Amino acid sequence: MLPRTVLFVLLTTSLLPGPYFERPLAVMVGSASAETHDSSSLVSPQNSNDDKYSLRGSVVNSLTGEPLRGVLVQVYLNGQSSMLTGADGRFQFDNLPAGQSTITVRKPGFFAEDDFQPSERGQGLATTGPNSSPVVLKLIPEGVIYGHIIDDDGEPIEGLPVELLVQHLQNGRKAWEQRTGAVTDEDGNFRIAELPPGNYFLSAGPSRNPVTFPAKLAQPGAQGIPLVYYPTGSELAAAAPISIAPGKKAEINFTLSPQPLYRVSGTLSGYSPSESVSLLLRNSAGIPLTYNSRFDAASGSFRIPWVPPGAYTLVADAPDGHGHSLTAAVPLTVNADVSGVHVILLPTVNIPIRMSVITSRTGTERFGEQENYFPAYVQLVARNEGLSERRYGSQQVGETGASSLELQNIAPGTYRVEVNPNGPLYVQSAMFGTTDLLESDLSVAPGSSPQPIEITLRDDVASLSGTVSLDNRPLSATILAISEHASATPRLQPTDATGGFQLSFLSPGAYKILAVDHPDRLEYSNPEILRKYLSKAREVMLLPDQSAKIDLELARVGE
Amino acid sequence: MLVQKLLAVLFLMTFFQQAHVPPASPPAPATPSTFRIKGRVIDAITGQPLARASLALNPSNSLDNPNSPDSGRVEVADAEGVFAFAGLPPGKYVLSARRRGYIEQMYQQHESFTTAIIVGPGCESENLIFGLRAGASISGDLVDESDDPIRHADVMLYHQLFTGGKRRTLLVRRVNTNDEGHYHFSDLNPGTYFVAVLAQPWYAQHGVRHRVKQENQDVNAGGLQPLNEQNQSLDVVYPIAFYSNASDLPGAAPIALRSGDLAIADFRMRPVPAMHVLVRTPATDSNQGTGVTVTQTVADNDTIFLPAEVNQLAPGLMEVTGVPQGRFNLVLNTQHGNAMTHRSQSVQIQDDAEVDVTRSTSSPVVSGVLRVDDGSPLPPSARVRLRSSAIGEYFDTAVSGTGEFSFKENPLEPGNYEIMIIEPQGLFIRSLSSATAKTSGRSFEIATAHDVSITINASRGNGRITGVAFKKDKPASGVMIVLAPRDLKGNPALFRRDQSDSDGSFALNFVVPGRYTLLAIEDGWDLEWADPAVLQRYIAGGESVQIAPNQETDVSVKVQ
Repeated sequence: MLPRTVLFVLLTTSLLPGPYFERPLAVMVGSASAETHDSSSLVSPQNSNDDKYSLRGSVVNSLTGEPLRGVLVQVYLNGQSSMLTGADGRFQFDNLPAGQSTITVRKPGFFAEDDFQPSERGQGLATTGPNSSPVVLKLIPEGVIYGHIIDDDGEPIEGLPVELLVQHLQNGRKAWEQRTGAVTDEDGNFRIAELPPGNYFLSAGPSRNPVTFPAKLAQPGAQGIPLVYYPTGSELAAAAPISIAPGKKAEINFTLSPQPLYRVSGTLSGYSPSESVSLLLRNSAGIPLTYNSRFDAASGSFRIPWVPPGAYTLVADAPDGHGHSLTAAVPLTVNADVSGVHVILLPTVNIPIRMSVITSRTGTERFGEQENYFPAYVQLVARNEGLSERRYGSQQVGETGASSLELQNIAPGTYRVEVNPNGPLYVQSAMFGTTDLLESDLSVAPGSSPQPIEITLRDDVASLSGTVSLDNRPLSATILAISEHASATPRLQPTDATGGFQLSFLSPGAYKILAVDHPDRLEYSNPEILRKYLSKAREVMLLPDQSAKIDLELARVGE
Repeated sequence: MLVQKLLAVLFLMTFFQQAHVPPASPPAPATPSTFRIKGRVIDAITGQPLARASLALNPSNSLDNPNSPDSGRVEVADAEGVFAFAGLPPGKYVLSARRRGYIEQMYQQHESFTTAIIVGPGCESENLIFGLRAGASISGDLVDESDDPIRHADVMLYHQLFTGGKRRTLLVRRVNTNDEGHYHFSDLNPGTYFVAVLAQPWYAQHGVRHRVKQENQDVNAGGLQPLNEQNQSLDVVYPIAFYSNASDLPGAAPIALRSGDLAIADFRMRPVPAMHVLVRTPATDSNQGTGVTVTQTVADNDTIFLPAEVNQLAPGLMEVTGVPQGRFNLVLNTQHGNAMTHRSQSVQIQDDAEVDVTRSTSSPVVSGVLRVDDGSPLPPSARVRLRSSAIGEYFDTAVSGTGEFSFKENPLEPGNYEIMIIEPQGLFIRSLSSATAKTSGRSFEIATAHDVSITINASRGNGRITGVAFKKDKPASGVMIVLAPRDLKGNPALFRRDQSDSDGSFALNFVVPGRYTLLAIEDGWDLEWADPAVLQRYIAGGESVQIAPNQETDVSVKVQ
């Protein structure tokens, strides 16, 4: 048996290269920094195999420009070379062969520029050769949020969780990400370090254990600190972001009053007595409360204690004992004890998918009989989930030779549908009963047995190519192809280094084509935001099988 | 009374049930059916009242049955530290108190014993003085050789205490330093402590130093590169550091804390060259995964896992790097199908040593039989534990219905080992016997590479003694009750202890049948009661008791 006190990890005994070995990138070097080499130093390794070169440079603080001592610098030319910068921030590697390699820098308390902008080409590349000049690399100082939480009698509150949310753009959509938070210590202090620059939303509470405060003894029952967002309020919508610039240390203090905690109780029906039921309360941000809910399978009654006031959704899930799931969701507003809530568990639904492919040459063919090939895959993206976006992908059902795709265990709700063709195909239509999924969302009603999603794909795809330039200079950028269909997310395609691009497998139809420099800073799934850039977009109409060509002007994000 | 649940559970359980409790009805002195527990919370050292202390009251029988409908209550003391629980039905209650900056404890708590409060007609429960001790704390800052803070270092707190009459040093807390290199431990009981730090230089690059020569060709196995000149200065580690400036526990400076003390223990870490150790393992076939981990034995109950790096150079040949000089345990973990065996070997690592663990794949296996002397059957959950006295590692294994057990997944090195019965409670080892190893009390010695077979002779503790402790004909509360076997030097597992409750009553459970002396010792909590010479003084003033199997008996005893 495993020894109790030794945390067991099987360390690698692989024959693979060691952890620090990275392949050098053989990429045309763009500009690594203001002070780099000229292009004549792109010496191919075969020419001067025996000559040895030095790589010199320095590392500075991106905020202050000061040189940084004790930074670990690593290059990968003929093995890995590492060294620490001196007090002047300088480093020098000697006896290196000619070539190019990534160069990485790190030091506790700092982030590398690569951590934020991986799409920035030319970052972190170094070249050795007869004419190379010193490189200057930057490290970004980290931010800290710290503070102090007291109650309205001035006593520190200990053991209170403090959480951080950061909003960023993912696939052109605003997404929330929870970062590691902290818990107040016995003096009510908390500290969260290692923060990259950004806008953070801070919440304090809810208290893990109910507490009773002497001044409030008149009220029976438990009291606790509810979830509060900085600067005030229980809803994320009312929260104000804390802006952390590089190196910023922000102090955030709270004075919180305990609130009564309430009990939510009621009964559950529709469950299978031998299966375990999961019951939780999700707040409006989609975060579940972590207190113990008690459920008595014999009587069907449940009780959730210590609920802070607020708006919630009570979510129940259970297996039905036959391989499927049951679910229920009940909205609740808690301002006092809530009793008699009746929750009816209903089966989740399976939505079959029927696909057909029309080839422009031979007419309709029905797919589904071919091995394991499906012409497209379908994903449902749940709406109104608060912070997180939940996705459900199509699953293969049935045996080989007679298999099809199905969306399984879908809970009632509203979903955006994404169809991803597998090959040179485009989606001509996607229908769910009378709902056109290219224009609207899919709605699943509780307890329904839904019709299939019918998808028709065609192979007479269109394509678009061209170049992007600014002031008649070609440059690299990212293309957004915005289709006329409301449900469709814009397609992205980066250009090559000279601004040339190729978008293949497009549905015929009307498009607005836009070229931007920083797609990661643009909320392109939001039509309101996108509208501001459309003056720089070109409109194009693509016919089936057409290959069109256009030229675009770069639109800078943020202007 | 003895309370085995954690304090946090007491408070939590109380809150959970609070929702059921109707608002306390105003006390009606004329009604004889409900009673009060009333008292004052004070600082145990200064005597000052403690306002805002939070008190939890639980009926004593609900502690073993947290889902019972009996209600628990919480009250908060007022500005004078006064608290009151009114409207209580007669019964026995456990009271605990909590306040920021003080150590949470039960009423008159000693070790895991408390004076339970009996409430009812003629019972005194309204003049309690509940002393809380201010917690002590230890904090400090870690910096490296360049005076930069070291973040995410592992800081360990060891507490030296007397348990079971012996002095032991145990790991009690563990935290990481924050981004400023700062750590702290708070709410500590007074006592003697040691602090140790395990950290790695964040910039360390170890690489691999050895190459495998095949025939006449110098082949780098798997493309591993030798270290460049520039990297040698980065091939460093921090050895485990004890406060202050010590490399092991015996050399460490004890930190003596009294109630309310704030001690500072700072560290400055100094790098030393990392060792590169070649380890030869038994040649394995491709179905067996073999791994090597490195641990270090620090204290009685603590074996630390070191973040060494292991690279396989060739089948059966590994290089372990990232460790300093010193004595460590190399643990060879071998997968055999679904099972994993772990074999530990203590090695002194210095100057890039070579270690061979191929020796024998037949390391001794310990197995045996557990026999209960009254012949009663064992429950299916029965388990025994083997503990290496040298290394401190534990291994558990199940005991079959017929009493057989085997530690076959843990082939062992020669040395001294202890055996314990983990499950079921109430079963105690009288003696060990073995034809293949030397036994002594609960320990045995593995001297050769041969398998060892041990018979554990166990007795059921199914007797129970209840009673009342009297001082000058009045019941005495808070007194230490000791049940000592007639042969004081015999098996320490036969001793039982309790703390008398507010009406002087006590209960001793799981008593193994035999002859005993029952003692009640006032202020006995600082006594080295497990030392026969110390206890001998009290024997004459105690009560002789004889317990037969399954017997329950009631005894009064005079307080000494």
